[in-house]
Amino acid sequence: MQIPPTDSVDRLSFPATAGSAVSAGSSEIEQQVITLFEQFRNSLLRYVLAFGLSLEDGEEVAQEVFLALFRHMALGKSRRNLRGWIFCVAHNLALKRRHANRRLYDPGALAEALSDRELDPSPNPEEQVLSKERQTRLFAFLRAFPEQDRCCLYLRAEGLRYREIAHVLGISLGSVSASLTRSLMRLMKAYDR
Amino acid sequence: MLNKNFHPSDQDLLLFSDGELAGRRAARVRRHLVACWRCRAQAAKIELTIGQFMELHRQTSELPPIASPRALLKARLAESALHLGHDRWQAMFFGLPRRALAYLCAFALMVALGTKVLLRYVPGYESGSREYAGLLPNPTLTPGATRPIAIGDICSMDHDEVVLPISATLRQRVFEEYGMRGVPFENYEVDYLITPGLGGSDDIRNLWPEPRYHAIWNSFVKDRLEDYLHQMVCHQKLDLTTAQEDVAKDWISAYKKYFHTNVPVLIEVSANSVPSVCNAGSAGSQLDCFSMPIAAKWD
Repeated sequence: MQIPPTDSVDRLSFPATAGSAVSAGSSEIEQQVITLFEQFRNSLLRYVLAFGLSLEDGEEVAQEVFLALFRHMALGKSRRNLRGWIFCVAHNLALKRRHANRRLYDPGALAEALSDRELDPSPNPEEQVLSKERQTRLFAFLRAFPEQDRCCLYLRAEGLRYREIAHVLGISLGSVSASLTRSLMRLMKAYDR
Repeated sequence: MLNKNFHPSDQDLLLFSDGELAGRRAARVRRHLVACWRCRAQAAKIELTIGQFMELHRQTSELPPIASPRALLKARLAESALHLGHDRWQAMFFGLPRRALAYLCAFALMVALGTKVLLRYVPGYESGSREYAGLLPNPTLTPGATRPIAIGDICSMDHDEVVLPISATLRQRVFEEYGMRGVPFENYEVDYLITPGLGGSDDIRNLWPEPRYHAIWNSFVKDRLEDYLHQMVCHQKLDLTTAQEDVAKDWISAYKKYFHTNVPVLIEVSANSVPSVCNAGSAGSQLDCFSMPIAAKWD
């Protein structure tokens, strides 16, 4: 199995094994999926947590994504741009899960959870407090973003290229570009304060 | 796009930074940044913001270890693999090109319609004996019907005398029931499935259009079977109910059973004598007669 590392490709396309995936042994596909899970689980989990899901729900969504990926590969479907495919499925499942839970999106919950952690290793207690305040303020700021802008930002943070983001969210390249610019300009102002 | 002061927009700076600008535009921005401190400062601010956001994003990357979820996924994948065979079959079918699928569906539809037509219009097709499609009655329409009668009554007369002619009205009803319109009726004999000589009634459930001129299993052959079974019953060589059931179920199989042959024969016998059995050729022209001790086999 040859799976290029994330950093080495712009638009991740995983080559199929010799012959179609249908003819490939299921154990081989299982191994490929496990490898992809190891490679993308953290990115995926961070992304779906940004939807306000609990960690348990996020883990479950990640499991579902890779089970779906197994079926996708076993049925011999396209392996081009699997990273985009993975995030696209995760995006849809996260939305579905959030709707099923009837929870409102609440990035503040994530901020609160993070505020309990030791975010800044600075030995100065005053700096630690300032750092926490800054983080909380930024999370609150992010919370005010339109969902599409937030998704664009998080997907870009996970290394997806504009074309992949456009594919995942079903929007145009121009919209991705405009959304990211808008988000960064807002963040810039927030950091300036 | 460069703005009116010939400075790149923030969006262009971000696109350039992300490597998303096309070659010529990227070159223009690069040249501009070399010359313009203001835009370099703006580009640096964008980079700084990205760095700050990523620092924040990194804080959320303190996730639980992967070992446990990976083990769970492995177990689930193994379970999914068990159902892989079915999914593969689906893939083979649904993976076909749309045009091929359309042709397959059209073919299946034609086969289904053809079968329906056969079932509706070809007598005997539904009888379960595909070998004799058209020669056997439709068991739904013609299951066979009997009348209460004593053996003495049917044996007091010859078989031909017991069988009464079927009225034209009843014949017409039978043809209509079988959906036979526009066919030459003279090629069919509306016949009793269980002949009155064996206790069959003139109920429409006991009547069906039997082909007269089929090369082998025609109405004349069935008449011979009926004569023969009538004699056997009357000579107490065969139980009446068994005779009725055998004929109603499949008269051709009954013929083979009682005449011990797979092709129709010409018989000049009585149940008490050793019959002279003549094989009929498919055209019926060449007769090959021989003796067969049928009575001995029954005893």
